[in-house]
Amino acid sequence: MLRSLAQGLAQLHLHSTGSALSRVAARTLPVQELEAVIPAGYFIQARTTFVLKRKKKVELHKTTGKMRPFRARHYLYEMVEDTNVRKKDPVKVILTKPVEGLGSVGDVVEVKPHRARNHLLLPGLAVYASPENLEKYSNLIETSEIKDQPSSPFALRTAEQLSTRVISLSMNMKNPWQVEPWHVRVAFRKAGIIVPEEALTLPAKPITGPDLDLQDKEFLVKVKINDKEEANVRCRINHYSVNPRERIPWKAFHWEHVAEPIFPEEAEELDALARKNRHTRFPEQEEATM
Amino acid sequence: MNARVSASAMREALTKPWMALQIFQGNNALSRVPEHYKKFYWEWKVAPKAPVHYIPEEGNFKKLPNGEIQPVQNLPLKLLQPKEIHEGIWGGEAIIKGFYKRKPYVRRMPHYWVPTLKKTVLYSEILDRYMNVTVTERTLNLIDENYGFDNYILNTPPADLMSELAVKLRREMLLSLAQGTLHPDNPAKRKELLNRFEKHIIPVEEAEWYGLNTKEAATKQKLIEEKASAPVPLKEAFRQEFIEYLKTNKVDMEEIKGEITER
Repeated sequence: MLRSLAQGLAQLHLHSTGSALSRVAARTLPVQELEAVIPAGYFIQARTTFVLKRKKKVELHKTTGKMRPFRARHYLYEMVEDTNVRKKDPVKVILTKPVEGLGSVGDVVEVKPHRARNHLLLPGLAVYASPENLEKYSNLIETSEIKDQPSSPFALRTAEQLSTRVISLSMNMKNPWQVEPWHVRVAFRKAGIIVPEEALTLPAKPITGPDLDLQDKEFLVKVKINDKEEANVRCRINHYSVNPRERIPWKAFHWEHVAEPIFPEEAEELDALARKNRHTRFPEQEEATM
Repeated sequence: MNARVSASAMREALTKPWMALQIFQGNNALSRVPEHYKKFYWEWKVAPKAPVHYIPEEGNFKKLPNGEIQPVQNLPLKLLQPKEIHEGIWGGEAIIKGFYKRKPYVRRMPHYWVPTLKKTVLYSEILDRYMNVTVTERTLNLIDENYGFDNYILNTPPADLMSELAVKLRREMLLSLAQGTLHPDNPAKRKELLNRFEKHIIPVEEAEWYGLNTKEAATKQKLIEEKASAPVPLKEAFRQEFIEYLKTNKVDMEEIKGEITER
């Protein structure tokens, strides 16, 4: 080390050009001294973008003195990695406001960098999960003013999803029946939604059949999610027979058309739900497109 | 010749490389700027940069397969810095000019490796400002690693910021921290930020010099010198002299007043 220092110093005197001198100085500085001059952060490296490699080695040069000029072959590069196509690591953030579909106040969540930066950190919905912030916001859940938090981050979204659906209830054409929770449960299951019977609330007035006046008419069923959030779902009566000759011909895309309510008092709510679904076709729209 | 160098001179040359920079050796205003500015300039323009576009070899020496021992010399790739680099914050990335060669019997082809740039909005807590800046993915990653834009700008050495815009922002942050002028209408926030960035609070005099380029520094030095050596009007000198005279001779003020009124 001492030798290199002396060499470096000899260089100072021989060539007193500023750049060569400081280059030598930087190279000969002991590590401790370097750390004093250059902040500690210098030694951290995070690599992204094009990482290249020389195809031909540069010949060894003297630690002091002018370097030999580079030749064209020293600018011949090979790609090692293009880090722009590498999978991006998620960013950890602490939510300071409830975010639908993600979490409530005080939750530490990992999200994709773009969402974290542009949709959570910039609007002020979250802060970085740095050690200081984790300590500062550790009691955020207890002190939060918003007590009425959703039962789960996905509950509200599930309710929203359910309320856009139309469930077709297949009822017998011959034998008498009254709509019971298990009918609705089976209808939900046929539509790919598993619902326990306790979560279903049917209309107060009983619906009995078979009654072809009820064919393709709607009523509302209330579904409770996690015993907290409630979603209204449209259910439609369809009379079904095992005998193919007696069956009512199937109407394609029947869930995209509006239907009449069984109970007139539910008409308004049913219409609102139909309008929420962007696929619903209304009679006035059909005329306009014709 | 080596023997002539004293230990103290040797030490200064190695621990304070900025004092020996050629640009400060002339007989102009730049040679008289304060030492902390010279140090900043060295850190900005001369200090070694973090490896971004290459993977440095580890260690000081390596053993070749034939048993020979060779020193490890990491030569950084040459970078082009267009003027646009100083209008955005590229996080240490720059343009690489070179050649590529895909097949052994094909002539090498010239190529420029240009970083992917994107425009984004960055928020600075100290300045309380949203900024529309051209950045690279690396900048955004570094900001995330540092837990915020302010931390990134303040913790990264100026050589690795590699952008005049970033250095100017750092200057503004350091000034507002030193003067305590951040968040004028929110004292609680101001106190919290001053606590958090305590280690970045430097004297106001140093902060005023930080982030200036050589032209601005020379102008500032000239202005300071002009102000110091401005001629004092004679009336002020005479007034001072007269006051001294009155003090030493203890003249009776009543008598003088009488003389003046008689005339």
